[in-house]
Amino acid sequence: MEQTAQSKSQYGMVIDLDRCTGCGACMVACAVENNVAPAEQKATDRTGNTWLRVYTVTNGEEFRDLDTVFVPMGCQQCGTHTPCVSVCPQNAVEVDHATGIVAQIPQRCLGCRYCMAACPYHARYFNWWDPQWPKGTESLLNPDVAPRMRGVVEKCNFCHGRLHTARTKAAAEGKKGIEPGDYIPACVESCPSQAIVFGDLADESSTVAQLSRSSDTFQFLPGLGTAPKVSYHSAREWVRKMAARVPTA
Amino acid sequence: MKITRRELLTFAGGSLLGALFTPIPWKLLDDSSIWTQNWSLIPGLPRGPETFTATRCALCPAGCAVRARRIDGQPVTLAGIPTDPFKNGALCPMGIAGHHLAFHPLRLRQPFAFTGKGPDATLVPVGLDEIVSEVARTIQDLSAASMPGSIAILDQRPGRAVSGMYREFMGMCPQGTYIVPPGAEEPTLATLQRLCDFNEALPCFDLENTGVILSFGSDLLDGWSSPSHTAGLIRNRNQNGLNLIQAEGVKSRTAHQANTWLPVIPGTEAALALSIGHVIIRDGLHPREIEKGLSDFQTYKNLVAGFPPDATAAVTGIAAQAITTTAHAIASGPSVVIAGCNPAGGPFDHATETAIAGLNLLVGNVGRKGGITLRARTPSAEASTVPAVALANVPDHSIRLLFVDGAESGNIFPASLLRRKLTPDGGTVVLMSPYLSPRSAGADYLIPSPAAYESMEEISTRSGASRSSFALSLPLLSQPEGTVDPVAFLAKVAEQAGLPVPGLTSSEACLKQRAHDIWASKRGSLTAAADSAVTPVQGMSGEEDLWKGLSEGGCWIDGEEQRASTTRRSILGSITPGHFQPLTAPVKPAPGTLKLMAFGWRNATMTASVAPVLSKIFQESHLRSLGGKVHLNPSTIAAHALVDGARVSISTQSGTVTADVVADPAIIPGVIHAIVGPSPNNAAPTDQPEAEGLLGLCVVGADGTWRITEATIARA
Repeated sequence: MEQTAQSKSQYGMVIDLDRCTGCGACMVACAVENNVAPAEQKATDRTGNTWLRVYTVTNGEEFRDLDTVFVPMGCQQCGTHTPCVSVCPQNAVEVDHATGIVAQIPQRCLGCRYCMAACPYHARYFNWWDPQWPKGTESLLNPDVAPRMRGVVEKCNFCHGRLHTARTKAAAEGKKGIEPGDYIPACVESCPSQAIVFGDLADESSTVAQLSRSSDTFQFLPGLGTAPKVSYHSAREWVRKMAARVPTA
Repeated sequence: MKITRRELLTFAGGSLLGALFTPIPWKLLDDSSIWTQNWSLIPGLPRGPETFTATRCALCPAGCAVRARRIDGQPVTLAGIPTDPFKNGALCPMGIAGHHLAFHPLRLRQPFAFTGKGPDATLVPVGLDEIVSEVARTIQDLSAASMPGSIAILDQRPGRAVSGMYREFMGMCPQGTYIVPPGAEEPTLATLQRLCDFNEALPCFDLENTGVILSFGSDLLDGWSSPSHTAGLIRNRNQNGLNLIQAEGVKSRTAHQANTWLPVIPGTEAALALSIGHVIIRDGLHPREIEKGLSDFQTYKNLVAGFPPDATAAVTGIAAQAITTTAHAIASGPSVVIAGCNPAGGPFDHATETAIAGLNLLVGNVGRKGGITLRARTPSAEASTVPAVALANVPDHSIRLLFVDGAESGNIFPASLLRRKLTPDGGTVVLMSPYLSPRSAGADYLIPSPAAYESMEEISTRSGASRSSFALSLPLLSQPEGTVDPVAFLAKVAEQAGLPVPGLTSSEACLKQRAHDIWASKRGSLTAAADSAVTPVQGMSGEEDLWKGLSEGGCWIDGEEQRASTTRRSILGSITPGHFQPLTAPVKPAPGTLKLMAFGWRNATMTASVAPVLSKIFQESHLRSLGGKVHLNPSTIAAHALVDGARVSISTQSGTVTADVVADPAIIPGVIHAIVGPSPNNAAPTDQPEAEGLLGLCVVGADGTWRITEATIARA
């Protein structure tokens, strides 16, 4: 772990919106990997808990000229002025400077939801109900991720359990850092279109670093100056303009 | 020193204030949080050794490769295997949570029977022996010809080794009929089989080498054949040059990814296909030898002469230039033309299927690399004297006793199609399924068969694949007590009814028999799951080697190529030009009516077919709609004085159902896009199957299709 910390990684991803078909495999893989419980019967899109959510956005045209883009939106892992960190009264949100990952610590969270109000990407979710799985499914939970209790906020952490596993493996093999292929979040692994590329942005030679600098790659709400580590790619101009538009009430 | 009361209180107050600045409060907060995380409402996590198993998903016929991470033997996460030799190495959302299905709240764990029929029917647990006796007595009565009607089995996933046993069983029964459901076969290939004589070979799509795919509503990226395979082809189109043209009246996920989208008015697809044929013949784009090779070329030529692009544009909504461009695209090189079959909307009518599939014959795709090629059958597959009969072709009111194999085909059809095949009193229906589902409502007996990953299941050749294959989905979970193997159940029934007992009395025995047949044929090779090593079957020392390799997640792929040596080819088959007469001019719908079309997502057309965690995409987000919702174009909503989210009543001649409106600009105006989907966390009582809902509104035509139904909509 110490060896990885010294390497000062900045994990991030680039999502190719022109490839995403909106199948939802990433959302389900995320929930299974991170032990996010199925919805309570009364849950809706406003009260549900999806660490990663795929939004459908259209260009607003009529049927024959309609164009749609599917936008997978999880925590953008803001690099500067991280809004959720600054508002949390409990220090339940921390930026791991060794990885750049914004971590949520449910044990500290008191459920005030200031962070949800502050997050410009709507990427945080409150546990309105006790997590419940159908009887018997408990034995199928991922042992690397502790289920969270009711009353706390949750969010994407780039499958931190997988990072720990990769670190353990690297340590066991006597390596200084983890191999890129050993740490892949569940959403990246599950995407049938291979629309998500993940890696270390600090490694200039990595695919993700190169993609993040390529043309037609952009970030959502760049005007806020939050320096997200999740970038998107689309050759369609209206999609790029949409990403820069700050929604109004 | 004397301590005053004031000093004591000051000290206590100061200590208390000071304590707030120490780690103690944080520690208390942490401890209480940790305690609440471990209370009884938070499940404990499994512990034990970590292992990985290579297997296959058996939720639908695609049979995608799966790498299961197991803790103490229990699967905790499933992921695709990108190096899969079938190029089938990514999982759909249902497949990712496939291991949760065994614990579905609607899981059947013991045999049940319905007392009575209809809404007042009650589900009561019964012993398996009691059901076996009842069913055997019915067979004996039918054998004695004291009761009218026949015995039949509906095989939801034909082509498996167990399907052979089902046929054998039907061969023993009096008037036994082996039935396959609509959409069980790829419609275009089934149509081509009707139009051509391929002898013993089976037609298939050579997608790897094709240049153009013209798809009429096939959900290539959302369930058709193997979505991960087609997603790979489309993803790499910059390298392979693939041109995807999607003709569909909804901007579906496949339409979004297509190079060209043709928003054809639903119901006019045949006109579009014939107009494309018109351009091909008019511009001389077809190979000249086709004119002699097709027995009815002149009839076809005369037919398509009535569908010039300019006139057809008004009928189909597709511009004449787009029709011409499409015709030139599919005739420019190897291409495949595919007619779609929505998992809930079912196949096109036969005339439309013929018009679409015929384009493959017209441009010379059949037998051409990159077009429609042929593959040999899997050894022993369907080697039975009992023919497969399409459900639509079974005479109405002819079935007295029906067995339904509950294996998931991924598709669904209206219950009315099945009901009308039963004798007027409803006959006796035995459903062998792991779950209580809408299908259970019409059953008399429910036999709890093993769920996904609870038993060894066959992954046979996926629809349209260019090579035959055989692999196994390995059990990862133990079966609950009370689960019954369908093959063993039928063997018991046969024994009690005094019929000859089938040679194979368990599903696993059927699989071993097929492995034996493959080994005996010496065809093909086995690709190991662990290292992708390829071993020819011919080089194996015994059939045990093949079975061992299959049991370790390996897959057999046939090496035999077939040539298209057809002796008979027709482009229209039994379809006459009169079938297309109504499409020569635009048809205006009756005032106030809309076209109701059922839409589903493969493997997600019933509540019990999806794991509860699928609520992430169906309930907790707007990515997919729950069953019971209807999508309408905003202009359709405005025209009927409705609003987004309104509760509406939809009526057809089959009845009235209430639903919620969703405004969706991706739907063509004038169409009710009725979602036949799941409700992952439905509140339906587990002792009563839910109603069929919107699918029940669809009117099934004489040819067994239900794609478009005239409907009216009004505020509820």
